[in-house]
Amino acid sequence: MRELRKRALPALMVVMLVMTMTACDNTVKKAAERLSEIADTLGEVQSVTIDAYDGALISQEAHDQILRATLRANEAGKAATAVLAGLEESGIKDLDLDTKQKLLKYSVVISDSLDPENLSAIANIQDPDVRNKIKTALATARAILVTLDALLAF
Amino acid sequence: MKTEQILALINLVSKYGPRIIGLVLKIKDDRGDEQTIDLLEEAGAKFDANIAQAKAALGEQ
Repeated sequence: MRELRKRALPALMVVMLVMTMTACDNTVKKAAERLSEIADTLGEVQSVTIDAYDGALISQEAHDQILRATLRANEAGKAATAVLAGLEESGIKDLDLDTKQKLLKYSVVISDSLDPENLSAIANIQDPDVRNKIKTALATARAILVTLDALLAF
Repeated sequence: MKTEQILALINLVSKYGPRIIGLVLKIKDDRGDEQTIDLLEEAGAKFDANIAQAKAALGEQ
């Protein structure tokens, strides 16, 4: 048993180190993937909104409110991307606590911007197809955000 | 599993562990960073395009 203990500790440390390195690498990459997906859905919300306004399907108020919300969300997403890019440029490959906290703050801004309660104009859109398209895309962006938050929690 | 077998397994991990770490580091240097940078550049470009589109639609600079 003494021999077992003597040899088990370094072996265990090696296994844990490999697992940690792999997990950290995946976390940065996955965070970048999530941000890219959020950018896609925000772009979709904007396109649907602009098309609907051009086709006189939604009011100026709804158009402006939704686009201002996506503008805030996009700016927070861009800032979050810049934080990750800064890490890469510095040669730091792991997400430390400070970085995670910064990213979570941007995540809160994105989530609040896309919160249906803060977008009252959507409820007033008469066309059900347009209303559902915008609501679905916003919900998708927020769902992706939940997976990003889960990554940052560890 | 007998103690001897466990010891043999631990010996293997101890012996080859550092080599595995070296391999993981090499893979990270060769692929991981580049892929992550590409992903970040792609995401940043999408956010920029969205911001420009939203500002244009709102009549802002």
